[in-house]
Amino acid sequence: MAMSARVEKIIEPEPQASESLVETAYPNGENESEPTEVKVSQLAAKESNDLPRPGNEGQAEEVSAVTDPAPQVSTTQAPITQPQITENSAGDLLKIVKLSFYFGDNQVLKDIDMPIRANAITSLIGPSGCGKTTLLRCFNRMHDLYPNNHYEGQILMEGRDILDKGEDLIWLRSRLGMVFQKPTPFPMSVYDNIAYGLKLRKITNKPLVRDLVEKALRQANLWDEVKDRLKESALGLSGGQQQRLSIARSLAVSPAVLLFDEATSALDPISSAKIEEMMVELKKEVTMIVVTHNMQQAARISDYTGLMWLGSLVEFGQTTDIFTRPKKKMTERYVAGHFG
Amino acid sequence: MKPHRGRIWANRLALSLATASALFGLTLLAIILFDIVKHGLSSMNWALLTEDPAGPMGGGGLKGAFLGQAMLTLVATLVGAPVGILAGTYLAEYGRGKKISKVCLSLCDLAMSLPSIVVGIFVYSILVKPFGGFNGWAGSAALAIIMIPLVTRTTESMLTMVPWTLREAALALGSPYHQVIIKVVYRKAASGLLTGVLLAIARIAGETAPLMFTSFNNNYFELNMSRPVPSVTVSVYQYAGSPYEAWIGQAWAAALVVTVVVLFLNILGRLTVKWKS
Repeated sequence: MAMSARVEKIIEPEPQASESLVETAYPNGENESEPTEVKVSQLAAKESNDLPRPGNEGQAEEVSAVTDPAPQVSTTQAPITQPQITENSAGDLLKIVKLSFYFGDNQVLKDIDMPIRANAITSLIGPSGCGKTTLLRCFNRMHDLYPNNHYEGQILMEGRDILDKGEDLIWLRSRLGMVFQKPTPFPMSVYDNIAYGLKLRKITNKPLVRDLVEKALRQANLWDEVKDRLKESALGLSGGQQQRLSIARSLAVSPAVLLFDEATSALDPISSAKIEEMMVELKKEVTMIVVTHNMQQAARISDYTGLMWLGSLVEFGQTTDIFTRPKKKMTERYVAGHFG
Repeated sequence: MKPHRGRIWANRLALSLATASALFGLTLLAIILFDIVKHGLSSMNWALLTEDPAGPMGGGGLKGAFLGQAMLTLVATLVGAPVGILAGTYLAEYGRGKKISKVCLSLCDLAMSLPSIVVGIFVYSILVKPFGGFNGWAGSAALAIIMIPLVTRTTESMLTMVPWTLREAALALGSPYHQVIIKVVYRKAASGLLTGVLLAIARIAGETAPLMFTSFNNNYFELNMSRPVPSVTVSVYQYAGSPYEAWIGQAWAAALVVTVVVLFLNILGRLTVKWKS
C-alpha cells in the first residue's frame, strides 16, 4: 500500500459543523419528496454508537488523507456546475483515493478518485466490463477471497484505510453489507436467515433478536408479507421477496453502507419498483452504492452518479448533472444510449 | 429428397440399437432379480434371521451373519462417511481449483474403480497378518477404504453444485469461511450428501471379497470385533459352494435379503434427493 502522502487530518465530523446542513453543499437532485436534510451531528452520533470495532483504535485518530483533498471528480472546464464535494468532507462517508486494482497483471481499475456521500445513493453506471462491479467489490474486500489480485491506493472510511492489509475483514463486512444480483436466501427459515448475521455477532438474547429481525424485515418492506411465515423456508418466497430478504439480512446487523450489485436486474418491474422505493426510504439510515445497468434506475433513485469506462471513472457528479448537463462528450453519448 | 430419407433411416437404426441395448441390459437384470426372488422365497423363513447356524441337514439360520454384517457396515460408515465428507469438503471448498485437488479427484476416481479384492488383500497385510488373525476391525477398515472415495466424490460434486454466490453472500455478512460451510453450504447440499452416504452404504453392504481376507467368517455368534465376525455375504459364498441342499437354499434366501436391503438403500437415496427439492 503506497502511502505516498500521509497527512494528519481528522475526517470525523467536528462538532461545530453539526449546525450547518449538508444540504447547502449538496443540493439534492432527484428526490424532492425525500427528507434529505441530514445533519452532520446525526451522522456523528450514528457512527459513534455503532458496533465496536476491534483493534486500530489508535490509528483512527491519525487519518491518512491525501494532501490535495480535492478528489479529481472531473477535470472540467465548467467549475460552476461542479458539485462542491470537497468543501464538506465531513459528509463523505467513504473516500476513494487513487484506487487501482489488478487481477494478476491485468489492471482493471485505474486511478479512481471518488467520494461517497453519507446517507445518499451513489450509482455506478457504465457498459459491461467497465469495472463497476469490481469497484463495488473493493469496498467489502470480496476480492480478497480469490488469489492473485491486489489493490493500490486507498478507500478511507471513518478515518481508516479499509484496504489496509491488517484490516479486520469480518468487522469490515459487517459495516458494509452487500446485496447480489441473484437473491441469495440461505437454506433455512425466513427468521433464521435474518438471525444468521446477528448470531455471528453473538447477539443471542431471544427477545432482542426477535425485535431486530422484525425491524430489519420492516425496513426491507417485507414484514407484512412474511410475518405469518417466519418459520417457513426462505426458499419458498418469490424472487422479489427473496431479494428483499437478502437486503433485510444485511440490514439486520446495522451496516453503515449497503452495496447493491445489480440487485434488481433479475427481478420483474413490480419487484424492482418495491426495492427502489425501499432504498429511497433507507437513505435515512444507510449509505448506498448501487451498480446498475439500468440508467433509468440510476436517474430515478440516485443522488450521485459515476460513469465508468474501461476501468476509469469518466465523470462523477450529481445525478441530475450527469443526466442533463454532462461535461464529457462520452457521458453525454452514454446516457443518451449511443453506446454501451 | 434422398439425403432426407437417409437421415430418417439413420435415426431409426440408432434408435433401435439403443433400445435393443437397453432392453438387453434390463432383461439380464430382471432375470437375476427373478431368479433370486424365486429361489430365495422358497427357502425364506423367520429362522433365517433369528436362529444360529445348524448342520447341513437343515434348520437353523444366519442370525449372527446378519448382525455381524450390520456391525461391520456400521463401523465402516462411522469412519468412512465423516472422512469422505471432510475430504470432499477440502476438494470442493478450500482446495477448489488448486492443482492438488485435481490430482486428488483423479486418484479418487481411480480408487473407486479399484477391485475390492485388492483392498481386501491390502488390509490383510496391514491389519490381519501383523495382529495374528482375522478380525472384525480389519473387515470394517476394508469397507471404509472402499467407502471413502465414493463419499468424497459425491460430496465434492454436491458441494460444487451449491451456487458460489451463496457463499459470497454469507461471507459478505462477515462470517468466517468454516461457518459458511457448516451453516450454509452443508445445509444447502444436505440431501445430496445424505444420498451419497446412503449409496456408499448400499455399495459396501454387498461386498464379499474384502471381507474374506479380513473379518473372514464365523459359524458361531460373535460380536467381538477383535475376532472373526460372521457376515452374510461370505456365508452366502460358503453355503452356495457347499454340496448341501439346505445350505444352498439358505444362501439363496440370504442373497435375497441382501439384495432387498441394497435396493431399499438405493431407493431411499434417490428419494432423499427428490424429497428435498
